[in-house]
Amino acid sequence: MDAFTQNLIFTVLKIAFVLTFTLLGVTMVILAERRFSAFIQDRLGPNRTWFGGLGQSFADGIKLIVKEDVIPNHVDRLVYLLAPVVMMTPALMIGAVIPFGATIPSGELWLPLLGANLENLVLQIANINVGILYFVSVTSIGVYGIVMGGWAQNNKYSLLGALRASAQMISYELPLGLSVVAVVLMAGSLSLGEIVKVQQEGFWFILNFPAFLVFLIAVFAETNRLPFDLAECEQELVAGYHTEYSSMKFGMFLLAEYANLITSSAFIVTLFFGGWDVPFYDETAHGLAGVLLSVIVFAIKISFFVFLFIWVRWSLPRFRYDQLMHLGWKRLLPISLATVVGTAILMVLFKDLYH
Amino acid sequence: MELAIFIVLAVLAISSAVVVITQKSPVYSVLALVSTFFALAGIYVLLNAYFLAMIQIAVYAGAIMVLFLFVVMLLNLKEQYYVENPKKIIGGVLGLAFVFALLFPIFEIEKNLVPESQMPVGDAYNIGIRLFTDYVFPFEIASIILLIATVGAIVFTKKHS
Amino acid sequence: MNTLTALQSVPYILPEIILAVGICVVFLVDLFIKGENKETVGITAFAFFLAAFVSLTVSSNPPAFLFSGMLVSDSLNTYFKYIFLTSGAIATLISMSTFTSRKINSGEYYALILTATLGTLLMSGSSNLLTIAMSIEIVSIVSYVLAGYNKENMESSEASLKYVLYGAMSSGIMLYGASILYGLTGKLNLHEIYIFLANNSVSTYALTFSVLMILGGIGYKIAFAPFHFWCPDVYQGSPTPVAAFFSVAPKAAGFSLLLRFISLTFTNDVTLANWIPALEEIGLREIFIVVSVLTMTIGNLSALSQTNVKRLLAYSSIAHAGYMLMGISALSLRGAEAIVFYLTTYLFMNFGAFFVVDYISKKVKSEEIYAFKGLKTRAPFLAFTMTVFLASLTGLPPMAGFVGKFYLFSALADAKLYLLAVLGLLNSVVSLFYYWRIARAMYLEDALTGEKVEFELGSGLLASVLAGFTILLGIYFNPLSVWIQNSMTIYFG
Repeated sequence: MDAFTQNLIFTVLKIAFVLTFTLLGVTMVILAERRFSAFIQDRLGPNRTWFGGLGQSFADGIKLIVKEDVIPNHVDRLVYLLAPVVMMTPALMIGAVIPFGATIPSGELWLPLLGANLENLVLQIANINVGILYFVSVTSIGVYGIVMGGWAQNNKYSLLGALRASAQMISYELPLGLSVVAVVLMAGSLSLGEIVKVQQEGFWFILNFPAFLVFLIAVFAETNRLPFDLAECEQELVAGYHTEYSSMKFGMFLLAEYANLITSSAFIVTLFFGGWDVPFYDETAHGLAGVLLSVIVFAIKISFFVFLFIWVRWSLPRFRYDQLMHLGWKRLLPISLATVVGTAILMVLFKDLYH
Repeated sequence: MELAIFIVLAVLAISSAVVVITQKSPVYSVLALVSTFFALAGIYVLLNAYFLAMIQIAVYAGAIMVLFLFVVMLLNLKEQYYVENPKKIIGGVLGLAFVFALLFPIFEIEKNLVPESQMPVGDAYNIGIRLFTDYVFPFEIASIILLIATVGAIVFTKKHS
Repeated sequence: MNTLTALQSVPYILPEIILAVGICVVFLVDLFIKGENKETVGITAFAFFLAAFVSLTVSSNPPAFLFSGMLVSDSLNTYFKYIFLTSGAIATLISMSTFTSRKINSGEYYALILTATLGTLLMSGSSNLLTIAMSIEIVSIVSYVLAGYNKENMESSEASLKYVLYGAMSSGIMLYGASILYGLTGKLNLHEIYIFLANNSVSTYALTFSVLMILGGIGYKIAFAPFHFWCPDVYQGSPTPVAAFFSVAPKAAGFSLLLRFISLTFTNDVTLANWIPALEEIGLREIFIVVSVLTMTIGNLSALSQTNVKRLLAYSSIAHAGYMLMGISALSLRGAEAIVFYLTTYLFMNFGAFFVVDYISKKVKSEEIYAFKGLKTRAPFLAFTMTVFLASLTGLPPMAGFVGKFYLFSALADAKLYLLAVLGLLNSVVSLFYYWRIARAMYLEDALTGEKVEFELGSGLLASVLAGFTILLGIYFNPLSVWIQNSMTIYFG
């Protein structure tokens, strides 16, 4: 078997793993959100289906798929049908550049069917040298799903939701990109694999706390989660951009939202918390077991941030639109600019600490 | 393989560009333009210009076109009906003639100015080095252009006191 | 070849740096000056023009390619920088006298004038397709904003919109042309393109096409036919000081760029006598003969039927571009000298004419020719200076315009382009008619009211300085002519 075929097979396997992780993760996150919100509001939440409610999301999924699919008469059909797909695609695409575990050394992996001459297996679908930019650009096109959906339904509440979403996305993309620049400065590379490696050898970039804070807030805004969910805000806009979607089309919006939640958490972890790095442990020391541990640790770190997302959602009230703009342009943007400059100055002053 | 991908991307880019100018609904035009930008980004990747491809998507598709959509939706532009004008046909014929006149020089262009093996990889490092040495002057000029364009936009939109 | 890196080049672009600093300072001054005291901003801008001018006179740098071949610095470039800085300073002065009465946000305005001047400086120094495109873009973008500066005036907005549409189109055409030229030669630097063209043969069709398209982009700045359509509407709609500035600085910058582009791409001979065969193949001389005849004829014939003075002056500026293009088609050093001399005289007479029009139209609230009736009694001094400018624009001795035309026609005779020279002369005769209409209104027709036009000392001073130069250069032109001859050493590396 030649190297190309091997590569192809392993890439397909990795893609399958990431997609499964994301989609299964979504069902779990939805359940976790419902149970946790119930806990906060002193309720019980869904606890009957399967083992204490574990099957609730699957049941909901089946319900959504078999429900009648209504397409209202007044919608713009093409854009209406495209919007959920456009929403879903970037959410799943982002996973392609995230390194989700330590590299499996060539000797460790024994797969007789595929031949033994495999090189090191990097646990990342594509280690492109512009990984961070890939993240920034794919996040930025995520807004098209919302905007197209909101416009196609041809009613004012959805349109308002779409308008708010597009303004919000553009405003918060700048702090997002700039706080990432600080990380890039510290890592000296745009490649995510490299960024994790630098953190593994040195320290986690959470030490650059202002950049982390800005990134976290901007990610909240980019994923349209409370306190930034002005695009749907049910008290004002019915359900915002997905008001007139039903059945699995609505399901796809939901799916995309939670998939974004997971990938965003994965990015927070990768950029600021060492990715799959297990603190004070050499992942290559115990062969495959160490690698497995790194994958599990990565998943645990992600879960923590998903938990944070949920916690914030059920604790904070929503921003008003002008407060949102004020925060984005007058607070986060200057802070993130200062972060970039400050990081650069510190980098020059303490050159020896890096690399 | 590469040629096949290029042809697919090129056809996508050109056909969406045609949709941009023939479509009556402004929203469709904007969306078609977005798809042109994506196809262009794909072509950049084929040319090893990864950095440019990503910036193309992040800046053009991700920011500028979203603003376009924002404005189109904010003004709530419906389908535009143009007055049919015989002059349009003359314009179209002249435009097509111009396109063909443009096509011929392209086939005359020296094909192997840069051998494929020497083609530099357009990653952040290479672009950064070139941008801050040989091309530092145009880079600074671009900043002046952007500054003055911003000032101009504010001059035009600011309410008179 | 003397090619400098970025850091070594900095002393060479001192005027540009001063202007760039000036842009920022003007914004800050505008921010901190409160209330009606807005004249300070204009004075600040003028001070920066003066500083740039002084820095240009005191510095003496050997000719070189700057920034790895992005810009070129030589004596021709230096001479043009004087022209641009002077016109920027004059535009600032005219604007200060115009805008005191109106409540206009002057901070941005003067910053824009500074930027436009900076752009013209860069245009004249560009030796690389990239810098050419970008410097043209600076001038264009500033021009769009300046043209629409009177927001409440519909004509001004219309002017701005038309300018943007034409500008975007011609920028696009120019960039297409540049990309084809790059594809043919693999070079962006004009001098390297010359080396390639001299040693290799390329497809004549493709080369012609690309050069034509690049000329289209430059031609839009010069406003030569068939890229002149925006010109009358934009001049009429823009605030008058802006129109005056448009008619001089970007036009001169366009000509300097044209000279630079043609000379750097097609020769390395300082005497401009030997051109590479490619020039002959694409028929550049014939192209310019046709373009210049078209431009001046269209300009002059259209000006005949105008009643709005600003529109008339716009068409007249198109015609003058046509005259100067005749100098290009001579393709000789004498032709180039004649163009530079003509531009210098044109600077004074055209600014003068626009200034008087601005002053009168501000006082009598009309830009039509009938508003000039009986000006000899209402404003005798201004009527006199206007006559000087008009006579010079026509090319009557002893005004500067006559000397400029004389140089042009002798350059043509030198290049044995007799027919072109005759056509140029005929056109000058036609121009006499419409310039005479204004003079006749001022001197031979009765005023609508006998009321005197208020005389302001500063404005009178400016008008007399401009008129003084127009007459002086018509009588005592030798020093200028010698200076220009010394400046005509184009640097080829």
